[in-house]
Amino acid sequence: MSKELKTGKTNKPNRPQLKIEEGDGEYSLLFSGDWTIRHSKNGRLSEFVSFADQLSEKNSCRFQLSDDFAWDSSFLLFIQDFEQRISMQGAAVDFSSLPEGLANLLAKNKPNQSLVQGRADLQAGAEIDIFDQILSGFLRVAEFWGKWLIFLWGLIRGKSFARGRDFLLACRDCGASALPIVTLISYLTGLTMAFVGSVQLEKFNATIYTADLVCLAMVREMGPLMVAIVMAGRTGASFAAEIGSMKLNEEVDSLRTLGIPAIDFLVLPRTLALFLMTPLLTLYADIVGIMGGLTVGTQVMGFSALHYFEQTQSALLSMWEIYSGLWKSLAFGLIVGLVGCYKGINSGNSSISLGKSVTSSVVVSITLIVIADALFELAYSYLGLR
Amino acid sequence: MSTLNPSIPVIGVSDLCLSYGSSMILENATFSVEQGQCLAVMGGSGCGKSTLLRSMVGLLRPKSGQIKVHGAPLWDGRHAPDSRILRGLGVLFQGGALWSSMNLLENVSLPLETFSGLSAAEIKELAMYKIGQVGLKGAESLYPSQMSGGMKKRAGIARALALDPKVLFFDEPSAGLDPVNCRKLDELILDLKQNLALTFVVVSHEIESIVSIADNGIFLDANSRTILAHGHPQSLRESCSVPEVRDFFARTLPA
Repeated sequence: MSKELKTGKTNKPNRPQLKIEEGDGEYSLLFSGDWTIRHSKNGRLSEFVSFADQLSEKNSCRFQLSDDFAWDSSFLLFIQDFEQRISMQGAAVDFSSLPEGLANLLAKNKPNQSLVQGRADLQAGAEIDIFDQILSGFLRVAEFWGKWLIFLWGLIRGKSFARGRDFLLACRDCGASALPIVTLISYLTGLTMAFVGSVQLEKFNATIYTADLVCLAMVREMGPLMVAIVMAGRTGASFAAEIGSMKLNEEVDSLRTLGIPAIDFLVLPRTLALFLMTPLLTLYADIVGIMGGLTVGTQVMGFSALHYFEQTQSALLSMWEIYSGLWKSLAFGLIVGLVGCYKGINSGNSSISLGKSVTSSVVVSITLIVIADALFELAYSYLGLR
Repeated sequence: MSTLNPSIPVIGVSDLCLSYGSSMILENATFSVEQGQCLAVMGGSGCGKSTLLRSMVGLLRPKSGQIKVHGAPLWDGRHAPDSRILRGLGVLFQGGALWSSMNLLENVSLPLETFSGLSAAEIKELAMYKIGQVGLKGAESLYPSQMSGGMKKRAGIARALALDPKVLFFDEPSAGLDPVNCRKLDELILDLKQNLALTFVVVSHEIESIVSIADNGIFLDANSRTILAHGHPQSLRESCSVPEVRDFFARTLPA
């Protein structure tokens, strides 16, 4: 008996073919054509399965290859699968006429227990249930926060490894270097608010109140919020990436082997710099935002600059309007600095986890900023400060 | 610190058990390193050599057991290791682990600035001396990203030497180096050992390097998670009866 199995849908001249001949319960399987990864084995598998399933202990299969036969590792995996199915039926398999290289590779392609064993144990150890993960995550945050406070107390008492130079460098990086982007964003925010506001106020013939709108919105809300979001995306992410890659390169370990705690040496200068720079940037953003409003007021609505400024001044009933925004920005700066550094210190030992840490530092910072902003507003109105 | 008491080993490790989470890495390891000795920690990949080193330099808290440096316990209760003990230990990490935001001179100066209380001029002089000692004179202003692998290792040694530690720990000093640079590094280690009477703990699986620099060795095994053999590397190489150790030195495949 002789039959040919259709192999794949390809019509190319060198398509993979298998010719099966039977004589006295012994099958001879002759493979010919191109059995490489280019010819998908989809479509032929079911027929091989049905061939293998009809075998029994009385049968034996002899694998042979024709002269024009070409193979690669996909054939190796296929033939291994095929052999397994045949063996499951109890039939004998004869590989003796396969080329030596293929036969050697087949024999070697068994999982290496001794190499995998130890690492599999490590993975098994890593499977902890979700509650443990939440609890340990919470404890890590608490530990970080607690240590930060302890080292801050140390710094106040003059016992700290933090260097003034690092603090000044961080101040430059998150303060002065952020001026261009803060300028652009707050100017455009002021400008946009003036445009949107003037359209509505025009209905009441009260366009001059655009100055009040822009001024109050900037100093109370938009200034601190915009600066905080820019800081989260710019500085917080860079803290996470910088400290995370230091951890990856064992630089944090080399500090620890000298007895220099990473939170003291790396985190404290950065968080304090951001804590101090964010209110300054916010004050700057408030002014630039008002300038944005002024541009619309003078160029579009036709007010004189003096008139606009007088109206702005009258909107600020007290300095508290400005302070309320600055208090917020102090908290936002601290949030961004702590989250960025925490994510960097706790990033894993791979580039993937470093990327994840940076992303999550931005996401967590912005979420916490918005929550903190809402809490501040609640507290202000509850205390009668609005 | 009783650094000069010869009856107390420089490093004494007793019944040490190390683990990552719930998986054990090393069990009941006991050994000691005497003054002026170079101990090689040998074994195949994944047997816990680097983990043992991390624990000995204060980076990984042992599950149980004790590590004593000059007789003083390194891991005491729940506290982090004492900074004063740590400063007596110099560490060279596998990739050098130089602080990438600082140049070579700043890297070597930082430990001195932090702990020595010397003037800026004295610190610079000392740091330049250490840099010269490892053969990197002229490279003071280079940043780690501008250095070759061999230079980073030497720079790492200069930084490890900054505070004149009594013990130096090297993690795979020859990894990633060509045979000539590897040999030069061995010479540097022998030089330091001879001239400064330092004690060394070297994690390595470079057989030639181990035999030329070490005068004592322990062999760790990943399967049994214990110390399989203990002794002079040369005698382990020639006459050890443990099959794993024989395979390691003869570079043969396990039967």
